[in-house]
Amino acid sequence: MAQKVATMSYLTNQLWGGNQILVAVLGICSALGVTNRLSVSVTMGLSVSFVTAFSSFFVSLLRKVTPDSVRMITQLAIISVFVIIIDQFLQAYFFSISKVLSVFVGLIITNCIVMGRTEGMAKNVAPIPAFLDGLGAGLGYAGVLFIVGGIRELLGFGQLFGYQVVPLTWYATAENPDAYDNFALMVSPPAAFFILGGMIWVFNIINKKA
Amino acid sequence: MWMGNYEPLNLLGLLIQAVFIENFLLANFLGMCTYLACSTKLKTANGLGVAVVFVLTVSGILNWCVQHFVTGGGALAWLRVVGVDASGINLEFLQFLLFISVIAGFTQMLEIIIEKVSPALYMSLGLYLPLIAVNCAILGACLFAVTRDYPFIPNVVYVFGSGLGWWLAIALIAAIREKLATAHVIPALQGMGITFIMTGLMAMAFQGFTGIKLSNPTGEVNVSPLTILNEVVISEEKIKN
Amino acid sequence: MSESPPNTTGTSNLRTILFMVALSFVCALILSVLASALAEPQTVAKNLDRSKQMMIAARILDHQGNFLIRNAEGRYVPAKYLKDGILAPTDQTIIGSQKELLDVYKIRLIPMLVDGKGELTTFQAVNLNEGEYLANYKKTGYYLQPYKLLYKIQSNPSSEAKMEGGQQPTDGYVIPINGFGLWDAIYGYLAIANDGNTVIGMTWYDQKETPGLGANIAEAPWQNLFPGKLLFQAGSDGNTDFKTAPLGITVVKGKVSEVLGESPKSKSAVDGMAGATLTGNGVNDAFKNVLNAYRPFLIKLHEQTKKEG
Repeated sequence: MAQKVATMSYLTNQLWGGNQILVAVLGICSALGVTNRLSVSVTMGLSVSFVTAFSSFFVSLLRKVTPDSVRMITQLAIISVFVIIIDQFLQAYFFSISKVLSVFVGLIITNCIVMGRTEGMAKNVAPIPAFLDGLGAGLGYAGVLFIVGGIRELLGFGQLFGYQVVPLTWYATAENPDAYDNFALMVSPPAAFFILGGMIWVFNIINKKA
Repeated sequence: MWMGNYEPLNLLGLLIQAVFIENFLLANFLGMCTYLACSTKLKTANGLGVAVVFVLTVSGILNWCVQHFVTGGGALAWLRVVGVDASGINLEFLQFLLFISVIAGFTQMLEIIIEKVSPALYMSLGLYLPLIAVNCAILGACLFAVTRDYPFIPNVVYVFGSGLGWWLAIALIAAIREKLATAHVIPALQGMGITFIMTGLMAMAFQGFTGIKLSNPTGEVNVSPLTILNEVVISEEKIKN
Repeated sequence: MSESPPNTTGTSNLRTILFMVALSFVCALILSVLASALAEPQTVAKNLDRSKQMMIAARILDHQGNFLIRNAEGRYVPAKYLKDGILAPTDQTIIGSQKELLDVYKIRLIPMLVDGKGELTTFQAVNLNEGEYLANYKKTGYYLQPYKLLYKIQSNPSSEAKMEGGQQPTDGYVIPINGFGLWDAIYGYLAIANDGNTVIGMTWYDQKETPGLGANIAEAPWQNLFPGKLLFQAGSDGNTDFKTAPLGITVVKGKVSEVLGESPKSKSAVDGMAGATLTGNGVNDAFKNVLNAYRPFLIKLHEQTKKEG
């Protein structure tokens, strides 16, 4: 029982206390670039979770036979394989989303979170804890992306997952020019910076109190 | 293949677009992690910037060759020289793997060369090279260049400009961060929090560059309106008869 | 650590090389198997996306993926798939499945070529390979070629048409439009009616514009402004000189009702998108450049309809 608790803590630790974006400040690039719409954010979060978890698993599996001089290249190769798997899969079954994500799927390879986990954790621990650690890191990242994407889509488009949430009757028209209008800044990239800054602020406040 | 239908003026427009308008760091957000997490000094930023410009330009060229001779559509046609007809083989799925290997391999080689050739240079720049291999901006610029399918020279201009723009943005952020270190910021926002907000404001400022269009290449064949009218008149007469 | 004590450099180098070779081989094997397995779903997905966009422009499909059919009064009502690509009117909207969509596309949208004088012809007649033509000239533009691409919209096959024998009547034509938006190339389909002037619908299927701003050209609300617009811009007096009139739908800055009011020119203009003026300009240029190449053909269509109507 004690062993099992310790193993699961690899997962839970990554979700909040060691959250990759808010604490370690890694994986920012894609968090900003693709969080325009919730559907895209969720896809990206799940893809990164998949890649991080399985890459960590295989890097850990091979950790005892990997020569030290090619350690980084091996990690990059394994990560690339999983990213390509995700990319091919998205192109086949989720074509419209893969059109929006375009090159950002490939950029998961250089996503600091993935490399950070394989270099920092996976090469030192057994496969199962490595898998859970990677999965936790990915899910923590996905959680942040979900929140940022939700705020941006809600305020910038008035929609969530493409469904109109803000009633159309609230919008300003020629007769009623002072009524509601979408917060267009939310759709453009700087808003993601502001939201992340705000989230870090809130995170720090919560952690200080705890 | 070399210039496509790009004129020298288009190249200038492309350079300005890559440096300011589509600034890799402030408009596309690529390449920040390594920088944000490790330093607040302008000197480090300059070192990183120069290294990135160099690595990005050369990697961009190498990856263009990879794309055109290995992974593009119909790219293996050159194998006909050795008697193998491989034009139907599509190796596009290996694109990511090959690109990142080229980048990682090149930075590794570069590090070795610099260490042997100039220890002084190695002390100032060489330490960043492993960090740069996994910098989103490098892979990102190569991938963007591939999606846009530039001919060779515009590709070089584009990756060079992207590197310059990245350096510019990093240097600006570092300069501001140096000042922020001594400013009074509320405790919960200190460090990363205020950096993000500051970077967001800079990104907004750079958005002001949007819409500056110097020139785009066109494939327009100059057909004078008179020619079309003549054809139209002829066909009208045919219908009447 | 479980690594053995360092051997001679030669052996450890050999080990490294063997390891890398084995790793590369395994990676390449996994990826090749995956790529081959997924190649077909991928091509299907890509073609399906393009076909869907063309059918939405031709109003065979609506933006949600429901089939449409034009009833006797000229309105578009929901339809359902019967078999062999035939549609029939129905009460509620039904979303078409992948196979149904592809079947309808194959029957209803026929790729053809038109030459500089406006004569319709086929790929076989001029000895061009359709696949090569489509792939080679997508970026530079089909409208620049001596034989320009367009798609004929066949009418919904029905028993009456079969009894008459002969060819299927045509509902209109789809012209591929390409141009340059703010960031990158934009590709779309413009469907026009048999009179060569009225727009049936318009979609943009490939664009990399700013999300929320220029990218709205790919969204339904803006595309729904196009049906019924006229390609040949009428003069202020209401007459249209087909030989010299500006060709294309103008994206105005602001609202058409405010900028052009009741002028005949308003029939060839649509509202602009706030904050996306440059994308709108790109759309205007795209129309101007591409449609001029099809002008002889459009004029011929107009003349034919005048004679029949």
